[in-house]
Amino acid sequence: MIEIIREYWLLLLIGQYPHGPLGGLAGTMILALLCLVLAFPVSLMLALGRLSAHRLFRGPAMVISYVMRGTPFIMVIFWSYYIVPLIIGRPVSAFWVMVVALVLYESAYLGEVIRAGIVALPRGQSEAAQALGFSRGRTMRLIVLPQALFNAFPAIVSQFVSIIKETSLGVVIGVHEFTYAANQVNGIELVKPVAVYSILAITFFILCFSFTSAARWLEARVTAQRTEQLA
Amino acid sequence: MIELSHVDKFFGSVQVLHDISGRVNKGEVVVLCGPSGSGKSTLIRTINRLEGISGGQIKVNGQDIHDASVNVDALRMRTGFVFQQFNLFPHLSVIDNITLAPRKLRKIPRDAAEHRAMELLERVGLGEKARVFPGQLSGGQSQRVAIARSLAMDPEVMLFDEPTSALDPEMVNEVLAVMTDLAASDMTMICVTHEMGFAQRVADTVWFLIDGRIVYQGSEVGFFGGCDDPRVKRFLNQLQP
Repeated sequence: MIEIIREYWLLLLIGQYPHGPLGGLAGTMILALLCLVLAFPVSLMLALGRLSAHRLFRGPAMVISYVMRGTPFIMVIFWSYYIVPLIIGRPVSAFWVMVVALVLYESAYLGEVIRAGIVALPRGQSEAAQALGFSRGRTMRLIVLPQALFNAFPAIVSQFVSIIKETSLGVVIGVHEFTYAANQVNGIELVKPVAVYSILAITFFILCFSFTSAARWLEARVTAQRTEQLA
Repeated sequence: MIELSHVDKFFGSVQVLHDISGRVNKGEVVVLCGPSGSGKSTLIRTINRLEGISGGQIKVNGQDIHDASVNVDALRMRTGFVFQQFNLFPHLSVIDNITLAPRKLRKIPRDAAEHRAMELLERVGLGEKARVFPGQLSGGQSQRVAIARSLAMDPEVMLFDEPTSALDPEMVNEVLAVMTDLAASDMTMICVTHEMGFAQRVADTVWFLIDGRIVYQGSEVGFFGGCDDPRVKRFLNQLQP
């Protein structure tokens, strides 16, 4: 394993860059980060859409939510691979196809997590805000969401970890990321698949574990702030 | 100031309020009482439109508040409401709970809002709790903060929906003391409560409901003194030890 890392560390880290697109672990991190940043607002919109009193918002949000959760992710990737260029009217790189597929798919789950957080909040919270004179929108923004998102935080984090892991499925449409680079290494070495894919697995684990640890630390900090008396 | 005329309310096919009429004058303290399930909470919730009504009219300062054209948020800004379960916002400190609405809705600058909030906290005896989060407060303290939060909007009327029912017995009096003090300052108040001692000391008027109908509506003295209605007598006997 050590010699594979020694030999191929640059390919695993950044892919064929600068002779090709940026890939490897760097590609994975960029893809994951982009999807995290995009999936959060999209899922928030889906959650609010599903809770909306207007059919116009509720309908589409529900369709997206059910279709995405009722389809294997690999189907969504293939489907996006063919349909996104058709919609846009020009060729789209595998990277952006993957961004669209992953954001859509994960937002459906994340949206349900957020919706659960909102619904689980006692009704008295929004009643109290409205009794003070806050509109429905401001009640949501100032009172409901800050609590719902905090309460749902552990589930949101685990969904974020899913996003990081599922970037690896981009390999089926040739996205230049970490798994793609590992495949290349395996193609060159041919006889050390266990070592190569162990490197892949361990690296992914470290990535996800650091992410959840950071999230746990953040959660503990906010909890401490809310339960200890502030001087 | 507040005038109810022939208010009806249905939940589905069940009628929970029958033809409720009555008026509340400025500075008056009305106690709404009656056995559980009699519609007291529903009635008080119609006065700031937390519940809609099915028939009749509720006028506040001459304005028909259940009319679709009424700005319900503006109505609620002028109408304080205190809940049985306090409903403090747990993600905000005590002072932020109190200043949130004045800052966001009345556009009062933070330092002015906090100054006023401190005055109110002193008034309810919790000046030292400004920076604490609601999770650290006892029930009685929470309810006093909730009252201060409502008062921070300078309401014209305060509605109390069983403010002491969720409290341990030893904390009831600290909340009633705040309410008594408020009544003494000529606040217009409508209180749903089972605290008959409080009603006797503070109320000007008692409305007694059974099954969504007003059975007694008149002076506190008349209610506790010599009301002949057997239903009132039975209710009072059940409450008094």
